[in-house]
Amino acid sequence: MTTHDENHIIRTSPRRFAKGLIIIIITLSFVGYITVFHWNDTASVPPPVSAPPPAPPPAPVNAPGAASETSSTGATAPSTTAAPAASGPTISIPAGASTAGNPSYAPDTLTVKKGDVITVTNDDTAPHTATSGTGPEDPNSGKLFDTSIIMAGETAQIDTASLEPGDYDYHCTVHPFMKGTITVQ
Amino acid sequence: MVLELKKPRPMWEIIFSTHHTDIGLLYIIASMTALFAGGALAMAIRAELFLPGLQIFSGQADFARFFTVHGTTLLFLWLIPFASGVGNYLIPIMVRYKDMAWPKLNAVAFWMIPPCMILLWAGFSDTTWNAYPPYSILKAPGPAADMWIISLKLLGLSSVLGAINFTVTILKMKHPDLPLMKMSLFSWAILVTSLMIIVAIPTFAASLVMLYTDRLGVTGFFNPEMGGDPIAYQHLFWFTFHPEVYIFVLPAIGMMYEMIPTFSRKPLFSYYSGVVALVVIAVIGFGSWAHHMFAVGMSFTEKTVFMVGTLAAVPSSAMHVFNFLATMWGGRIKFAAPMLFSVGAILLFFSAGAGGVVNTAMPLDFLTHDSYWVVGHMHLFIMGTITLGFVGFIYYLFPLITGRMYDEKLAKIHFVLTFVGIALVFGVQHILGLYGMPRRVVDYLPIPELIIMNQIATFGGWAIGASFVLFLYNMIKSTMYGKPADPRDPFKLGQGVEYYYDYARREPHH
Repeated sequence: MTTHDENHIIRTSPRRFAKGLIIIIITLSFVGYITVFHWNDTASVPPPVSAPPPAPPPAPVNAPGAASETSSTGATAPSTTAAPAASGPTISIPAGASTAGNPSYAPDTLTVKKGDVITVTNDDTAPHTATSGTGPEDPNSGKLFDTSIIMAGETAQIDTASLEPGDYDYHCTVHPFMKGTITVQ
Repeated sequence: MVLELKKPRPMWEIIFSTHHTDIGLLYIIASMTALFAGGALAMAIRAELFLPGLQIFSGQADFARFFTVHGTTLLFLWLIPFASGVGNYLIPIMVRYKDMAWPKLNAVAFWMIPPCMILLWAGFSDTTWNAYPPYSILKAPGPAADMWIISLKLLGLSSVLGAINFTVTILKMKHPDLPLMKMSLFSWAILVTSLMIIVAIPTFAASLVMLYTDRLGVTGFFNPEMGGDPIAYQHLFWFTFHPEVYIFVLPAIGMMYEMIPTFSRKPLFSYYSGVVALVVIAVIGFGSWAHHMFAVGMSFTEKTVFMVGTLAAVPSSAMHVFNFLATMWGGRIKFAAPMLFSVGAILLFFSAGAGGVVNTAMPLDFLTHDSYWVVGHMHLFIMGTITLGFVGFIYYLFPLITGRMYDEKLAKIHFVLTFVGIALVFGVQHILGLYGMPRRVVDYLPIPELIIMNQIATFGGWAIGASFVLFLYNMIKSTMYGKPADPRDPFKLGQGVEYYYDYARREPHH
């Protein structure tokens, strides 16, 4: 039994369907505008994790100025730029150290006098540590000295005043394959 | 647009409706928009590969952005929303309830999809649809990749909400007179799919959060520089996306279970085996994810387990195929467009399945790994089986939704062009893979065999593209001016065929 209603139920009229199509087309053209005209903008920012670490603010700005100043007043320039790094022995963590097999600490054997303060600079893009002990399994890991996490581009210090003369192994807790030795005289 | 000419509702009332037919229709329209948009990208990709060297893309980066958005759009904005849309339209009618269990939740689930579309298309990420780390966390440029992550996150949420709604509607709101084992097989397919979504998607949702915090540099789950494990991402990813293969295909199979008995003018051969096959594949589908990762360096034991797990899914797929064939056997088949598409889908399902058995055999997988074979296999399955089933069902539902009839002649041309195109492009891609052409490359060596096969594939692709332009024209023209259809028997199958749904029930009535 078909009722009158069921005989022909037309759900659409050209006008209203066209209205619906226009809604879709407006949305599409909005998105299309962004896609086409911002094609390069939307894929231009490197992911934050591997964005190049911000350079220490004063150094690059002052460096050219400092270089020109050395000719006139030679004493001021080194004191501003190299003060934290140059006094005493340094260890650098070179770029790429987080890949096993690459150089991990430069230099990886360092001889210092008791009382020296060693500056550890992380020149890599990943965070690292310099922690006493032969590895994370060493029960004495971190007992003698530990820089804790050094973020990319940052520095930390190891004070050898409390260490007896002798050889001390250290490693990176994030990358246990990174190892080095400090000899205190 | 569903419109009642007698008492037309204003457009905004349809767009912001919570009635299941309105939302179902919005889902269907949104997913078809994605189908055409994603397909247009495929045309560009095929045009680029027509000749070796660079033609229309400036380099690999742009090409990567194109195929990423092509894949993501068609998988997550066409297949899943379309299945949800048809489910929304038909499930309450089939289980005889007035609406979905939670109409507002249903509307929320739909309205997450357009923002996802905008995020995805405005960004145009280049991570590939897998977004494997370390590339996706260390190198993939933002904000495109971040937009991709957020978009997929929302889509996952949307499909979980939809799945919860379907499960509750089917299990709790079903009419008391309708036992579970008398429910239509399409309802069964949607029920099984929904349960699979609820189990599978959260894993990927979690790994997306991890991916995002890894990108920010806050965590290092998958970042090898911070001691993370990129392979862990692949496990999490495929734990979601191998079941997702079945989530894509089961609705299509359910739709074919609706169409094939109807146009064969015969009852279904075996209802029980259909239910069993659906349920069994839902369980087994979770035991084979690592067959996507045979080449990452797993132990022989692991690989064997997953190889066996994959082969265990073959019988239930074959049960569906035999069920379809046995239903058609001896029937008075009317080859209207929906039936043509179903038969094409059965044929290509079988071919894609045969290729799948080759992939799952470990030694052969090492040969085909990361080559065009994989592209061909996946597309044969997704385009050849799922999309053919879905498009057939669009034709099948067309008279129900619009009250008008589509142009049958155009639909038949559409089918022939699509079928031939699929056989050309994806069949040839299998051979291209065996010749060693790697996937995801903008350029290839100018070897005569590679050139000629890529050109055949491109012509096949363009045939599909042309046929879908016809399809779009047919849909628009027939919705506006099509002949009014007989609501009882739009396909003129004659008396005694009980195949259509209750017309009166699709009126929004609250």
